[in-house]
Order: sequence, then structure tokens, then C-alpha cells
Amino acid sequence: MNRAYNTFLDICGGTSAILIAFCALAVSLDVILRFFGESLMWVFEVTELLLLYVTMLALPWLARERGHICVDVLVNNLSPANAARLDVCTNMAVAAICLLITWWGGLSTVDAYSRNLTNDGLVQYSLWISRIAIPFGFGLAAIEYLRLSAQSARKGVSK
Amino acid sequence: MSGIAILSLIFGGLVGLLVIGMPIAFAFATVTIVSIIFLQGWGAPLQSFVLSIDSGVTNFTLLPIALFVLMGELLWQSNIANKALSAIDKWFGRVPGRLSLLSVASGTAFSALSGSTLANTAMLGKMLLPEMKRKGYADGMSMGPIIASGGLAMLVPPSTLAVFYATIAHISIGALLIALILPGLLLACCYGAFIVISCWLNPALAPREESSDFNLKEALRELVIYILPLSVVVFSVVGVIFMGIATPTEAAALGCVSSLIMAFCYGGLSTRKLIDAGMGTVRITGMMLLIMAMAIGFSQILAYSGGGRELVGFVSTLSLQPLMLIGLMMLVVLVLGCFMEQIAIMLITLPIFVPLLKLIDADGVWFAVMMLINLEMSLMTPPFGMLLFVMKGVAPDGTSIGSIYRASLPYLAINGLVIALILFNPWIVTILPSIMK
Repeated sequence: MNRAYNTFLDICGGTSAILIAFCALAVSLDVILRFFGESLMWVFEVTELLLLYVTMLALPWLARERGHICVDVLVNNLSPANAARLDVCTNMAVAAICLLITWWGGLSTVDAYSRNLTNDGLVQYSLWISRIAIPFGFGLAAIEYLRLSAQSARKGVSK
Repeated sequence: MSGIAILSLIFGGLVGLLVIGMPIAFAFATVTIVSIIFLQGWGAPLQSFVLSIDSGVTNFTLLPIALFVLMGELLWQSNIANKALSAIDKWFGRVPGRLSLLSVASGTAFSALSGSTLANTAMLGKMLLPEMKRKGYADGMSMGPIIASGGLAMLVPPSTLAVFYATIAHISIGALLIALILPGLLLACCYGAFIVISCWLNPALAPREESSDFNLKEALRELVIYILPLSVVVFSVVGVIFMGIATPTEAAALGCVSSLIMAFCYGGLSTRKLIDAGMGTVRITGMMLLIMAMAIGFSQILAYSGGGRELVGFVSTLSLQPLMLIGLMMLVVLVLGCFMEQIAIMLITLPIFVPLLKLIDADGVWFAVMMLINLEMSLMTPPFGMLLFVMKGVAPDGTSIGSIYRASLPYLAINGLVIALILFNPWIVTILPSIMK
């Protein structure tokens, strides 16, 4: 179960990388086509939407990798047991914030879906397609921070 | 409660959360959410905050952050930098402090290809420091120039932090990227001049080499093979922005494609390295974009609290000279830089600084360049400058952190000097954007 979940997070991170590469290629192609009087009209809106997906797919993967930067001045000067206790508290707080954002993000997604809201760009898409990325990313991040809390708690007990 | 009191609580809470080690993005989210609940109530305001995450990231002008990182990762992973370093080395004969100058020259060149200060410093440290130590270079002539020139990566375009800054401060990304070229080169020249003069006055700092290796034919050959093609990558980013052919986002995309082509041509990019480059990009981009997503909500709650306006009003009653006010702002950044990470400093200070700059009618790009140089200093200011720890990681065993601190001090002073020079000579910053198409 644990392994399957970790693989799923790796897939999220990998997809995020693929989306960035796709954005690079799409924008470059658009610039090149412009020289020939053509243009890819969808590039602007689609790359903007993909940026949200890049961020939200990377969010839980980065949480697992402890890649979200923090100021570790105090933590590095604490005893291992106290550092682990503090880590449990901060991770629990982050998980709570993630859950809150997941809840409100979920409501926004349902609202966009039920009212059939669309964006007002050149390329039109239903807004729930973009909004759903937020509860997805933050929901998984909440799980991840709860797992990190449990890990730190175990570490604190063993110290 | 007055706006300034609310502002103090918001900043106090934020600093408290940062100090206990909460990730920067979530510290901003926590403070914003708690402030919303207290100031605006539960319900719709929270939904608006969540929607600001969406609108904060779905922004075409943020794409260069991801693309500049990808471009740098592709070039680092393909080992082109190692070959370029060896090619640059061929051009230094028996000048005083040859290896120190080599670190500045190659550090500056790599800065034009990548925005990663950590990778730049680590690579220069790994490749040059052992030889410098073996030849008896003093710390100030070995570790110092590597740390200083490694830090140039965050200034010389492509610079992800410049894009981040411009987005938060609402100034032109293209103008800021172009404006950073001259100050970046000026810093490199000042480092070089300091090295040559120091070694000339005290040759023991960097013992001269016995024989001259200079071979014009060999040097020209390596220049054509390894340096000139890289200038295509640099042109595909900086040149096209300067000539008005493409926007910074489009230039960043072209930079990625040309880096990919270059990496394949030099045969240094395996599937494994391509995957590493992609995941390395996600690691930095995901972190920065999430912070950016939180920054919108944070700046909105600051504006709602009215504290920023009150603070600006208070400062205007002090009748400070504009240069003194800018000097004070620089001092705040310098002090914060000793303890905090650059993105956090930007997010904390810019919502206050930007209205203050408008109050004194200062050029946003001019200030941005000074602040970015100041933030670069934070990478090498004791006790927590990140590059000092990178250097500790690659330095030979037994190198004390104290000796690394001391090695970086002269270069910190040079940075301070260049900030002062720009403060009194804004044309250093404004000349290139003014002739940009």
C-alpha cells in the first residue's frame, strides 16, 4: 500500500515535469510559427492552466521529498528529540491548513461544476477543470504531512 | 485595532511560523487564513483565498520560472559546463591569481546559462578548489571568489528570482532581466580587479605558476567548440528579449529548446540525466510556484488590513530623503538576509516597499536591481548564507566554517560597494532597458 502510494506520488512529480517540458515545446513552437505568419491560439490559456497543474501535482511529491523550503535556523539547534517534537507540530499544522484549503477548493469545484462556469479566454474550458487541481494537490499534501508527522513522532519516541 | 497593529501581528505571526521551521509557502497560507478568519470571517472570504491560489499561478508571466530552471538543469546535467570551464582556463596565462580569475570568469559565464547559485558554487568548488588548495591559494583567493561568482547566477539572466521579484512588484520582467546584465558584469569585473590587485600587492595569496600553458591555437579551438555554441543559448534568451523579438516567457522556452539541442549535440544527455533534469526542475519550480500562489492571498490581506497604507502615511510624515529611505530599506533586507531565505524576504518586504517606492517616485527596476544584489549577499552572509554551507560541503576535510566566513567578507564588501555605486549612478541599471526594443 505504502509502496503503491509512493509510486503514485512519483507519477504526480513525473507528470509535472512532463507538463513543464510540454509548455517549453508549445511556446517555442508558437514563436517559430509566428515567423511564418501562423500562431497556436491555445498556447497562452493552456500553458497558464498547466502551470496550476504543475504546481498542484508537484505539491504532494515535494512534501514527501521535504522539498518545500523552510527556515531551519531554530530546528538545527534543537536536540534531536525536541526537533522531532517540533516537526510533528509543524507538520500537523500544515496538514490542517492543507485540509482547510482542500475543503474550500472542493466546494469551489462543485460550485463551478453545478453552475457550469467557464473561463473567458480565447480557449474556453469549464472552470471545474482548473479548480479541481487545488483539492487534489492539497488533499494529497495533507495526507503526506500527516505521514511525515507520524514519521517524526516515531523518530521522537526512538530518541 | 489600528492597521499598523494588525500588520505587526501578521508579520509577528509569520516570523514565528518561519522560525519554528514551517515551510515558507504554508507559513504564508496559515497567516493569511487566520487573518481572513479574524478580519473577514468564515465562509466566502476563505473561498476567495482558495480561488486566489488558482489566479496566482495561472499566469503566463510565471512560466519563465519553470523554463529557466529547466534550461539550467539540462545544461548542468549534460556536463557542458565542465568542458566550458576547461576551455575558459586555456585563456588564462600567468596572470596573478589565475585560478581565482578562472572561477570568476566561468562563474559569470555559467550564470548566463543557469539561475542555480547552488549548482554553480558546488561545481566551481568541486572543480577548482582542490587545485587551488594544492597550489597554496589563500582562502580569500580560493573559496571567496567561488562563493561570490557562484552567487552571480541569481543576478545574471536567466534569473528565476528576478522573474519572481518582477511578478510580485508588478514591474516589467523583460526590463528587469536586461537591467541586471550590466550590474552582474560590473560585480564580476570588481571581483576580478580585487583578485588581481590583491595578488599583485601580496603574491603569497595566490602563488604564480612556474610555466605558461598558453597555447593560442588550442585556446581558439576550444573557444569555437565549447564557448561559442553556448553563446547561442545565451542569445536565445537575452538577445531575443533585448531585440524585442520575444517576450521573456517565449525567450525562456527558446532557451530550453536550444539547451536541449546543445546537450544532445555534446552527447552528454542520457535518459537518466534527462529524468534527473526534469525532476530537478519540478523540485525548484513546484516550491517557487506554490509560494507565489500563497503570496497573492497574503498581499490581499495586507491591503485589507490597511496597515501598509498607514505605514506609508507614517513614513511620509517623517520627511526622509529618498536616498536615506532606500538606504534604510536596503539595511532591512541586509539584516533579514542574515537569517532568512530570499523568497521569504521578498514576500515580507515588497508589499511594504513597493508603495514606499511609489511615494518617493523611485524607479522600480533600479530598486529591484539593488535589492537583488542585496539578496545575493544574503547567500553569503554569515551565519546562515546558503552558499557558505555549499562551500563547506565541497571543501576539503578540516576546512572550518569560520575560514569560509572570512573568505567571503571581501566579496560582501564589493557587493555593498556596487549597490552604493548603483544608488548614486542609476544609469548603470537604466541604460540597457532604455535602449531595449
